[in-house]
Amino acid sequence: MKKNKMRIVSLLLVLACMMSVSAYASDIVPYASDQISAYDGDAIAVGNGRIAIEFSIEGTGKMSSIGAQRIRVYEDYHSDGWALVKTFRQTDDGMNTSGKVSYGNTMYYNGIAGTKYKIEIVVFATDSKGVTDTRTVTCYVTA
Amino acid sequence: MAEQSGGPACKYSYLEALSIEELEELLCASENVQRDDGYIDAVIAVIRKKESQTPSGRLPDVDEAWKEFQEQFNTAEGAGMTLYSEFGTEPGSASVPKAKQGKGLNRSAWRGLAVAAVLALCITTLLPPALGYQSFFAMVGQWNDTIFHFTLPGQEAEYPTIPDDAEYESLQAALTAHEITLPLVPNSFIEEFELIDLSVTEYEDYDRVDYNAVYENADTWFSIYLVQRNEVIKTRQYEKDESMVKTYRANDIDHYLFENNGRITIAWYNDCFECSVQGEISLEDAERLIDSIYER
Repeated sequence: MKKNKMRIVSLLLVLACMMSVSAYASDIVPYASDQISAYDGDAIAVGNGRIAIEFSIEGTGKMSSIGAQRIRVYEDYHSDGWALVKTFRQTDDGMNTSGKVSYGNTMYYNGIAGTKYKIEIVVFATDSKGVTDTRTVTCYVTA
Repeated sequence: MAEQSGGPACKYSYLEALSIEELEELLCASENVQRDDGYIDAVIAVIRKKESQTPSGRLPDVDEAWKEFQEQFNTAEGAGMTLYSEFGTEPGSASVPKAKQGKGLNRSAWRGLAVAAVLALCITTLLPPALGYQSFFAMVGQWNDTIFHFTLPGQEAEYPTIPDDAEYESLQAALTAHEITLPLVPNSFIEEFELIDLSVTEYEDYDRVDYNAVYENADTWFSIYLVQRNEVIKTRQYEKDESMVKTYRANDIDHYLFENNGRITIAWYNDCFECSVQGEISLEDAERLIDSIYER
């Protein structure tokens, strides 16, 4: 009988842990920011398979670094899912700037006309203390 | 590299243009999607090809790897053991420890599970309303409300030719150069501040121009951000905390005031302009700033 009680208590503890994980999950959802004030990202087809990927971000002050941390382009392989075909990195030209309150730019990817793409844009702002915050925008476009 | 000839060569020819790091990322990403073996083989083949052209030491020497296996794993102590026991010895076999196999849950355990299920049901149905949410699942989705954004129907507007790399002495000068006559810039309020940064960014493909001006004085600072669009496809996302959104009406326009971790943000729409001001200013100053935009 004592063993069964222990099992029930264990189950309840597991359940309690699951509930607390849900609460923490909500904490990591974007919720105000000490580094980011506003942002946006989008992708449109501009003809002949070319995709224009736009991003902009405004910090909560002058940032030591601000812009796009990463842009990933995935190609639609239908039942096979999405295949990563291009990654723009923070070190690539046009992705970010230093010592500014805001930054935005357009990056281009030459895709295949008529093919669907998923674009994942991660914008970031790093303050003078070296603290970084990021936000992710995902959009879909047919080239 | 056999997969690279014929049909597959066309299908995966784009892999040749990628770096080894990007190809490795593709391999990692392919773990999350169902993918045909040809794709994996093609990625590996391109990595091998690039590695053989410019060796970086990624691919270990086969003889050395075999020698290392013989010395470190194929030892007397390891006789009868396997490196990959979790996969089971027969196709389709489950990796369940033998002691547990065939042993079902007893009556008490089932009773415990029932109690837990009832408890979970009570928590998920009774707790969320008590916390102000519609349902348990809405507790996660509810955080989306902390992002402020506009949803407006598309608006057409005149779009002038933009000067290239022009430098302006003030935000109003930049707007005037773009033939913008709308009241968008505070008048008397900014006289107390100094303009420390001004940028005008044109997004040609989006028929969009962003204006950002940053002002500061000895005590504080603020930033004005104006987005001019020919067509509203998407608006910006504004970070905000739990504090309430306040509406301040001026010049027949609703100005939304909210906070982002204590910093005031003002957001409003005027014709084809999405406008915002953010900075370390008080609510009173924010309202004074808004009034200053429309004073003539």
